[in-house]
Amino acid sequence: MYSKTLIKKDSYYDSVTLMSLSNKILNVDGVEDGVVSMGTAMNKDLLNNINMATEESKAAGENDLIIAIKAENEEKYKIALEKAEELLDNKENTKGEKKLVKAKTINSALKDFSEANFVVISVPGQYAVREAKIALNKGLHVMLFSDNVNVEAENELKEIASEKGLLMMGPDCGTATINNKGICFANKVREGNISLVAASGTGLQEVMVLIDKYGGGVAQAIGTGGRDLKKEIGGKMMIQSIKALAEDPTTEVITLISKPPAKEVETKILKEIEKIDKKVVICFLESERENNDNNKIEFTNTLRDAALKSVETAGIDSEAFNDFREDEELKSKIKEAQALLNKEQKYFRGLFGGGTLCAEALYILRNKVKNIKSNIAKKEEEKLEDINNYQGNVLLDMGEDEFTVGKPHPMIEPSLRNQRILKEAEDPEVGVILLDFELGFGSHSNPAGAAVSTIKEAKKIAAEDNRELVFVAYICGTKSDYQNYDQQKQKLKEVGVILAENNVQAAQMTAEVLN
Amino acid sequence: MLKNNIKVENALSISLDFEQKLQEKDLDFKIHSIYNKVLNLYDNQNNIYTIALKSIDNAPHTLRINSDQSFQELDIDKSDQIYFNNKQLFISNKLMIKVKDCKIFDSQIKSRIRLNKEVLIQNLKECFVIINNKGKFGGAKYFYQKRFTENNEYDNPGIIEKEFAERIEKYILVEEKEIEKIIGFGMGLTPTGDDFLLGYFMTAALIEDKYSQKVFKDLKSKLEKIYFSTTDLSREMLLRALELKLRENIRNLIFSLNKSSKQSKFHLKEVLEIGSSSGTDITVGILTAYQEILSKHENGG
Repeated sequence: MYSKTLIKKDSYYDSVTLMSLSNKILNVDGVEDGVVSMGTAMNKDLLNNINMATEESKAAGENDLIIAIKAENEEKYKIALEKAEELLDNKENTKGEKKLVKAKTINSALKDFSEANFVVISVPGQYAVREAKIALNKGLHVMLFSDNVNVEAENELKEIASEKGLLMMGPDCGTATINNKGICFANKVREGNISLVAASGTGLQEVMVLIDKYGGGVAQAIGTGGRDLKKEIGGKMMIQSIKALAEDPTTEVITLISKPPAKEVETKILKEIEKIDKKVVICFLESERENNDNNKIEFTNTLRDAALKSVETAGIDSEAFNDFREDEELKSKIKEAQALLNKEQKYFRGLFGGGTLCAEALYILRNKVKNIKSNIAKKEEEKLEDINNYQGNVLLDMGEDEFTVGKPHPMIEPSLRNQRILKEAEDPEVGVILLDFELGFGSHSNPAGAAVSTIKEAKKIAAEDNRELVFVAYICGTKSDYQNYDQQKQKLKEVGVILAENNVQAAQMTAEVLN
Repeated sequence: MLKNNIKVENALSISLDFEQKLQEKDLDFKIHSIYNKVLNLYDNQNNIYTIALKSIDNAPHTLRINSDQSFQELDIDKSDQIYFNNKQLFISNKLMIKVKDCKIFDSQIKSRIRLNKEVLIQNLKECFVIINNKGKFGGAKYFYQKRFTENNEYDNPGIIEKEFAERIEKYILVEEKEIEKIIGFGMGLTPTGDDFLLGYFMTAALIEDKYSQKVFKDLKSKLEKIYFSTTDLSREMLLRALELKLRENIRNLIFSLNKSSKQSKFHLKEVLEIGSSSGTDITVGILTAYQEILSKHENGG
């Protein structure tokens, strides 16, 4: 028996359509069962009870459509699925929303878009490699959103891409901006002459956002995937990206962001930079790299400094946008917060949606407060053993698989983190809760608004125990992001959250309140 | 300056809560979804407000306009800006609605109805015939036929229809009701479980009777405590129900079933027109609640 599910994100269909869809599926010879429903908890419960639940269906959201089919074999399943898609496609085309030509394969898509040179692939990992290979062999640049691609397959794909002079972003690449157009999770930023290459994720978002804030603009932002600078891959895509950006007429400054690479990979990258004629800013997070006499390269250690240096290098007077000037208002807020805490409230809890922001906070805080543990720590002494049972200073990346298996990422749906905020509020030793909020395409439509009632509730829990609780937060977003940056800020201010101008500052303020 | 091709419409009626929302200083609407007859907006608290064509009845959070042209033909995009100025609601430069001199509809129920058993029994009988003929499959109709009629010609019920019927028997038609087992259950924009619950809950709420008020209070306290794992539109419908706000046609049906005039038949037909199978599912919820109340009376409860 062959059982699978197809998920259609944010797809609303009326029940008559869905019923006729069910009937079409059930009428296919060799199909034993078919369930078509929205991804609500109860509908998922049903799939579970009849053994038709899959990882995909478990992860589906309440506004997603689930099509679950149980068939004799894969061939019968495919026939049923084709019938279902046919019906939905017809329905889509009569919806009157913006017309998109639907294509089922890369080949058929290319028939309709022969001028296309870029493809985003987001299919389950086991199919992703096959699709990416087809795309690369057709001469398309690839952004591979899918994860669960093994390192050997990644290497093979990147070899093909390098030979053909193409970009192969990912796997697990969620953020990119090409010709100033955001793809997947990306912020709306000013157009400009700075281009970024990063392992992807919130690190890339943070630097883009700060470049915008400091008056600069972004031409391209390329995600390489988190393993690119490891020995096994050898930085193939970072090198390919440097080559591409060297040729890109709008790019004047190239900024590279990554955790420290393997030594031999670093050497390769530096050699590649020698060959090009543009200025480069390098941010190897958590490294203590000093600048040397090389005029072409500027080394930085934090995302904030990378943004600032990029803007300066691009010839923009960043002093005008410098946000770490003495801020008397902020100072007094920190003082007030310090006075609120009692002697027992010695610790902070950082609850992050952004993985790289969490890593950067760890880098900043480890020298300012003692004994930090984190679920993303690399150092043995900092590793958190149990994400549900801990004491002391803790930083959690709640976007890690251990939190999100079967549940939406907190950048998309914040209820997971909200529950954790309430849990931390019950700990009498906690004084500060540090949070990040991501704006931009792909993120929750109202991240601050979705946290407000939880923050109030957490403060209430503390107050009932005669304590106060301090919240420090950073909003990674721009004024052009669709969530309305100023409103997001206002919502958090109204519930007494101390707001930082960047992630580094948020971490620093957390330490200051506790010290 | 307005573009020449902006469509200008007059509001026919507006719910009191929508009108109050428009008075807010920083109106923060964004577009949620666009259908033929309704355009759904949401605010920064994720409350949904609806702009509806004139063929749609009055409802909570709803503004009706004097038009029958599909919203899908207006090229409205989810990123379009919405603003309210000088009693005019703008959807970017595509639609302008004059919200002036239109009727205000207060969707909140403020009075209850006394049970009129004889009339009710007669009206329910007539309803059963109409639902058999006009009710739509896909949701609660299978449960309804199994429980209330002798019609055994089920047209190949799907897993969801069968499971739904089982859940109602097991979790709703019992003393200790477990509403969370049906919230979000079923197909469609507003899943069957939610539609059924809306009809069931509102009927219990509106009947001035000891047993129904006990059921209403029990359901209300349960609904207030749980998170509605359901679609955005359905969650909105249930949240408004908790405030005892109800759309016009459903309210009319619940009230008219206790009245001797023949109005209930017309109101039933109007409710059956709601959505695809939603109207049928809501009606089955209403009739189930009425049947339960009647049977308690017969048993001296």
